[in-house]
Amino acid sequence: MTDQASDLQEAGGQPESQDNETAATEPGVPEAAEKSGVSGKEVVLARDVSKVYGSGHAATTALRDASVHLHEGEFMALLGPSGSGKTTLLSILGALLTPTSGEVTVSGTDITELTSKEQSRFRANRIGFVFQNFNLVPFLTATENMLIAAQFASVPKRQAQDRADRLLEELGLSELRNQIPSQLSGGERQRVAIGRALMNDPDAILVDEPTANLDTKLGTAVVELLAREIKGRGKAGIMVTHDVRMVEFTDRTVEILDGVVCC
Amino acid sequence: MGLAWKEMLRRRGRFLSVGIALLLINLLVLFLVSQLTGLDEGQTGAIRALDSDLLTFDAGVDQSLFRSSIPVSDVQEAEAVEGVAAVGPVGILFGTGRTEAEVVPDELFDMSVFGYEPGSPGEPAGLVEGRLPRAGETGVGTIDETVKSDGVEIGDTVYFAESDRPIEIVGFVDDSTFQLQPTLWVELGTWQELLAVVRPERVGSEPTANVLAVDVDPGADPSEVAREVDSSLPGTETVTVDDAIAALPGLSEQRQTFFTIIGMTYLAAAIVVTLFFALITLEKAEQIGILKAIGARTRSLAGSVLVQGLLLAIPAFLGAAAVTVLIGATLPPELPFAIDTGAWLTVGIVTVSVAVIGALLSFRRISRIDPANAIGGTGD
Repeated sequence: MTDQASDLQEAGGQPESQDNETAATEPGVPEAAEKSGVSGKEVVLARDVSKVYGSGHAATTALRDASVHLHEGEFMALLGPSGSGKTTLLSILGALLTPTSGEVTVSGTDITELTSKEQSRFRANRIGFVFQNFNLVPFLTATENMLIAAQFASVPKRQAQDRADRLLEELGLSELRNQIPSQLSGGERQRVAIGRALMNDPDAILVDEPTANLDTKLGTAVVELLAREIKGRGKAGIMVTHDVRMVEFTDRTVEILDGVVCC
Repeated sequence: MGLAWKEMLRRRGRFLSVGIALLLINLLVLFLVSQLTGLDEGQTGAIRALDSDLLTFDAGVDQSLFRSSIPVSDVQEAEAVEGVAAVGPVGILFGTGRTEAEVVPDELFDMSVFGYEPGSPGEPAGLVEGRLPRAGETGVGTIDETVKSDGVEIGDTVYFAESDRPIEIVGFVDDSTFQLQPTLWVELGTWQELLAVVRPERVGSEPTANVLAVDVDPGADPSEVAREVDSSLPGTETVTVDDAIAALPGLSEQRQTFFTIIGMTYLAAAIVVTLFFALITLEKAEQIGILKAIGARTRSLAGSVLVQGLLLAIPAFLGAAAVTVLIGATLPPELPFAIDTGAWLTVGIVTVSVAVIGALLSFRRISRIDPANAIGGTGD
């Protein structure tokens, strides 16, 4: 396990830097440089977002007037107990759910008005997801798992292959490119999942409980890697977690309780 | 559709097992179809070999080839009917054949004798060896080639039933069995001689045959001509050859039996394919949710299943077809088995349709998987 943890530390493949500003201008990370041309640009903006399930007496409010905003290169933790509404908020920000009311824009696009087809396109092109159980396609190799994300976004094959090669190298996965998930360790799988999330150079990276199925050491390593990638590449990152130990790698923490965002 | 193909390739075990199940089902169906074709052909060969458009029966015998009896003199009257091109008498006897002058019970084989007027309708089509009897040439016959397996050759002599009239074999025809028995084709005079021996009660003041084979003029409507013939010749019933074949005893029952078995087999195939796709879709529900979350369209996911259905069904059918051809080649000739390309093509189309329907049934399930479930699943 120690191996995997240190493995992950190195896996970033980028100059060590916890500092957002410095990382953003590192020459070794091209898209980070592009992205942070306008420093501090707002990427995710949600205002007074509510989600009500059902209607009448049976109506349950999962989220009440939630507002969050995130800048480029900012990594935010969304903390809350089970049923607090953090999953609902993450789903809304990721164009997986349409809010009952409120306004959500991601890089200037109002995502509350999208049809399900447009949502699907939007997710493919602009959002990178990292799921709880890595959720790689079990019969595809590491490379292919990354390439399907490009396929869904209709990225030309050649270009997608180049991008995947670069990411594999940066994530320290070059040697493992032709391995299928069952041949990879938990940490390696999560690195492939991070690679898949970065594949289409999204505006925002949404992370759902990345440490739920990892031990503390590996969990810490994964979150560290995520923080480095998000900051280094100038993405807006949101991580849902109920593990307070992970908070130290994020820029700020938003707590949510009974559907209400506090602090 | 790379995803669909890669899944099949890398999860070979499951796809191969359902593919083999489909192949075996196809094999069974193709074998049944070919046996039915073989039975059908074996029963109707001689009637089809008559190669005419219409058959005129004695009215009131319910189109029974055996009971029908028509005076040969009716031929002239029938030929005078508008739309009729040519008419020939056809006599039919059913019995046994032997190659020795003496009757040795163990050496008998089933055989029917068709008598016809050389050069007129009723002369058999499908000569494969030797020649046909000439007009007025008695004591010679051309026989169905299936008797070759009994050791009969050109130049041999055969005898019919208890008759001691020797008939020299001068040729072979193919596909001319009747009720799965070889047919001996002789000119009508020879046939009358045999009739006098085996069915003396049928010999009256004037020569008779069983039916008249009628060819219609090119462009004439056969059923129209059939009505004309019946109105000119009182006491006759004229039908198309296809109708006469359908009226053969047991034929439609045999077809129905086979079609029922084939239908049930397809039902099994449909259930196998549908359940297979339902199960793998159920098993992949989480994966499908994730793929949708990262931007996969329902249409392309459903398309994958359709492609997989086709990639299962088409090779399964082709494989089964190849195996059936091999089996058919090794079968003894007595077993009715014949390949009808049209029927096989139908089997192929039905197989592919069954797979497509099986795949389509999982579309709804796929479309109902909510990508939002990808988040907050288990550990929340």
